[in-house]
Amino acid sequence: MLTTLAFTTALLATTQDPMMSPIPKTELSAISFLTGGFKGTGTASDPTGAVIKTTGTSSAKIEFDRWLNIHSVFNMGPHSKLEGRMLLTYNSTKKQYEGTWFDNMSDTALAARGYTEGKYLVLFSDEFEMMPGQKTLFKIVYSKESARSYKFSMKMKAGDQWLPMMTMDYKR
Amino acid sequence: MVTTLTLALALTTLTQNQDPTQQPAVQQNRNTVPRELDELKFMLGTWEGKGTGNAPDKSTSQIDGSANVTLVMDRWIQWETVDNAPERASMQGRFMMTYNPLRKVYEGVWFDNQNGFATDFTGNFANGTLNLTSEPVQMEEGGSWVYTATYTKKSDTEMTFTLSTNMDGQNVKMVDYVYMKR
Repeated sequence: MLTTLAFTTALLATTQDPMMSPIPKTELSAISFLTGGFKGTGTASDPTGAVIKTTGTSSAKIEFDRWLNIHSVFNMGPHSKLEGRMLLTYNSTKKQYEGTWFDNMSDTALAARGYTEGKYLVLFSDEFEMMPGQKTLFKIVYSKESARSYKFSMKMKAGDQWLPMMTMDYKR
Repeated sequence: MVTTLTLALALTTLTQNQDPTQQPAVQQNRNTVPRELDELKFMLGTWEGKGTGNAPDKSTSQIDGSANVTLVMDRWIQWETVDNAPERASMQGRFMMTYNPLRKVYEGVWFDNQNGFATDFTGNFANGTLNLTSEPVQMEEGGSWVYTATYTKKSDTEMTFTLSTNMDGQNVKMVDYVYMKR
């Protein structure tokens, strides 16, 4: 769609340059440890508490100058393959990282926002309706372990607690 | 994310331990690609577009672009586009669209090379037209705009696209495109 806000703004503001938002190079550099190709192993916990061994891949690159596209595949047994993408950037106006997750099993995109602190990128989802009337929050953490590895974890909020759902160790 | 993860994990457990026919109906539905998505498949393919951009002072500019539209991850229509207008930076972006059976609406999220945020749209499909309206977008100079994006199938090889916004109570068409399949 071509049309995006800057474009339309540019069309309207005929006497001005396009109001193109500066590319947040410093902030994107802070999460560049996620770029490239990785293989991962880890575990996932289902709602009953059962632990499932999980393998997967992660491949990430910058698209459209400012969006980090993290393409992930999780193999959770012979009949369950979750494939998804996180499109992530830094919103300089709101001074926060913002991402949206899409996958092959859900008809809803999940938006999340957060910050970096040390080696961590921490994202909290918007409220997400998993089933009618059942809303929850997710916490997603990426941590840089070395130049060649990172960890991923995801937790779901249940009452006052964050329940672990998945952890993955990725290596290039 | 995992939005699905919970769903996926639940399904994994079910497929490992239970008769799949015992899956809760909602889970079955949410793991099934909604048939409503078929309505958008007229968009699939590679398109060349020409059109006009309209400014409030009534001036217009000729614009052109291309769109590569694919089905990704089973259930997402991915509209990737490059748009060119005279004396403007090229616009590159991606629109991810699907049908949300829980809310019974089409939904889309737009990303591009010029803005540091994504924009959410929701809408419906009727009579060959997908009509999507954005969330209010805060403008730096104050206020907010709501955008309406409309895709209409004209034939198997032709589609139109318009983008409009509401200003001072008036609907203003900002971009008007005709796409032909390459």
